[in-house]
Amino acid sequence: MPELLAVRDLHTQFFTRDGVVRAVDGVSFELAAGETLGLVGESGCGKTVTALSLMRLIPMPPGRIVKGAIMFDGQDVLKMDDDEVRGIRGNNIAMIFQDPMTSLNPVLTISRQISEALELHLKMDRSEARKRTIELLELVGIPSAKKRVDDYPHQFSGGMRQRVMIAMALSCNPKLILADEPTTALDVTIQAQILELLKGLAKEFRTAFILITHDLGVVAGMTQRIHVMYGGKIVEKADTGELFANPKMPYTWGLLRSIPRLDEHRKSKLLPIEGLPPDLIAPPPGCRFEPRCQYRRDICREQEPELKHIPNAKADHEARCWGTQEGGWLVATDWRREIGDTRVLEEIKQEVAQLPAEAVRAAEAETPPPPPTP
Amino acid sequence: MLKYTIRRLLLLIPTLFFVALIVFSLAHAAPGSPFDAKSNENKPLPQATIERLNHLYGIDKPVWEQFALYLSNAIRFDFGSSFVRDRPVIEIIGQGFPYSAQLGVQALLVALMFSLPLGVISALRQNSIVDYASLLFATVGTTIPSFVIGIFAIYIFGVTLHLLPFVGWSTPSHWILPTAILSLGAMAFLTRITRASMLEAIRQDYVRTARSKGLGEQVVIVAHVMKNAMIPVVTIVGPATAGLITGSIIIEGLFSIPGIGRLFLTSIIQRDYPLIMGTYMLYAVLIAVANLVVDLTYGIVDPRIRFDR
Repeated sequence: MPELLAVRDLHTQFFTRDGVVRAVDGVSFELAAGETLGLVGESGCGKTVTALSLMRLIPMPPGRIVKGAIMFDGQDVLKMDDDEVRGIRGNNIAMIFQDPMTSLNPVLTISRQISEALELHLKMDRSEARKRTIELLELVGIPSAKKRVDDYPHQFSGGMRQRVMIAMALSCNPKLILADEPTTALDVTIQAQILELLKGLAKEFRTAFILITHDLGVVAGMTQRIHVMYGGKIVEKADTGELFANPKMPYTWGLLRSIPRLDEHRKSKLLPIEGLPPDLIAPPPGCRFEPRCQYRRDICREQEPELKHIPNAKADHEARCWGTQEGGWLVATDWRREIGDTRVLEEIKQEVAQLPAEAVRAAEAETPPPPPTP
Repeated sequence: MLKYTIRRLLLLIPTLFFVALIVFSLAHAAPGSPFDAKSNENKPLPQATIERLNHLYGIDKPVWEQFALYLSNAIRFDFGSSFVRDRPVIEIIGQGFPYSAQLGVQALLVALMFSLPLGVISALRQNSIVDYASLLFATVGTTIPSFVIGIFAIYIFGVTLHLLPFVGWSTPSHWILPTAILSLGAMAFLTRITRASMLEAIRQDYVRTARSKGLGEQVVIVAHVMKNAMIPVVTIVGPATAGLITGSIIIEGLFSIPGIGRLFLTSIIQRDYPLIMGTYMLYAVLIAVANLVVDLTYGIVDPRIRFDR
């Protein structure tokens, strides 16, 4: 398949009073036309910033894409002028945002908000755009779309609003849709419906999409490949099935282990990943996951591993881990059987206990990238 | 919306009743009467005359009776005559109000004309020179009293440069200085409100959504941000209008404009009960109407507010 998107060595940083936040720190990946990719990780690991960078929607200041290339359809998005970027936004790349409650403009009708892009990119006139808007609303399963097209967002439920967002994203037939936690703000019963809808429509229109989520359960049936992000870097890349069956990075394993499963014995406890995500102003010098990793050795603290092919795995399975890479101490072992070195686990728990209470609270409050200047 | 408007207008009746009750009670609770020797220091009246006058104007009756009488007359649009000026209240106010109203409306329009663009620009160019200049202007406009600025303006543009007249209200050129001075306070205030609500609106998620559609910056600002940012501004403009069109004792005094601004003060000093009632009830009605207009405007600006239920 021809390549649609190639991100190379992307660095996006936020310049705050406390220092430079390296939100995305050297991310590279490719996406073929029509391919689906899951971008998974805890909050604050750079998923959303990666997606916003692709459309150059990073608030500047304080944010800036300092390095890298984003080749979309053979053109570098980062080298485009503002008009060219606007020509791509909504037209070739569209985004579905996390919170449908706040992502729609409360004072404009649904019809206006969808028609806008149609009029702009497809040069439709008002009545054509309106007709198309109604078709789109029907497509995403909004009942009596004709009647509801002139309603305002507050007259729709959360799930319906997310359908509107999907209709909006699909409106100009983009080649790529970025769905940023599209179901996180929704009721669990609605989540599955929205995911099915997104999957079905993307397949029908042969649209590539990147599904961003913190929930491995969400991407399971949705995407062909998964990239796991941690601390602004991609730490593991694999086909979806391979990743679930054969994770090669202790962080991914930690994520998988923290998903509740119906088919497991009720006595087996959910295991959380101890510790806090790394401070992206002063990240750990070696492996970013080292402070929380139960399989760590000295080298993990001293040197950062590269994202490399892993022995005993499929050809395109890569991970950023000294332990599982060629010659690593985990290669020949059945490391996932154990919860790791119990002594190390104790150490981590003690370190966590010593963290100042504010730091823990701040991390638990899930600080998103810093807001634009106060 | 019609039903809502009618309901709100009907609600005006009890509101005005209580305002009247409070103003009337307060006016009468204040010591002294219109014919006190004290309030006519130059020419003290004999006690017998005062009593006859009190009787003539009905002030010797119990206050509740006076209030009832006032209300029953007011319902028939008879607001009585001023004790001091010996002319019907409605005539006194009717004569001065057009001047005050014209001055107020002009000042409001000028204030809006400058404060909205200034507020929007300083929000869009946050922490730029324009932003700081508008902050300086807003601080000056709020903190320096209008009589100080007024006197300076008269001195510079009237006395020294001979550019503008500053006595009376006869020609449009007479309007310029008082309008400008009166508008300053509202302008300063509205600039800050506009800036703040623009900054608030521009941070919202839907603005990012609008940008993600590829819309130009101008469309994003005008169609998406400004429409939301105007909601708080509308709230402020209503009561500000009522305040502006009932005149300003300082500006009208400074520029010798025959408006009603000074009546608010002199009527109280002279214990001119009918005139007190007339001026303050006018103010109450205007505030109530302004609030109603604001609430109705909300429905246009903000679709989340509906009246039909």
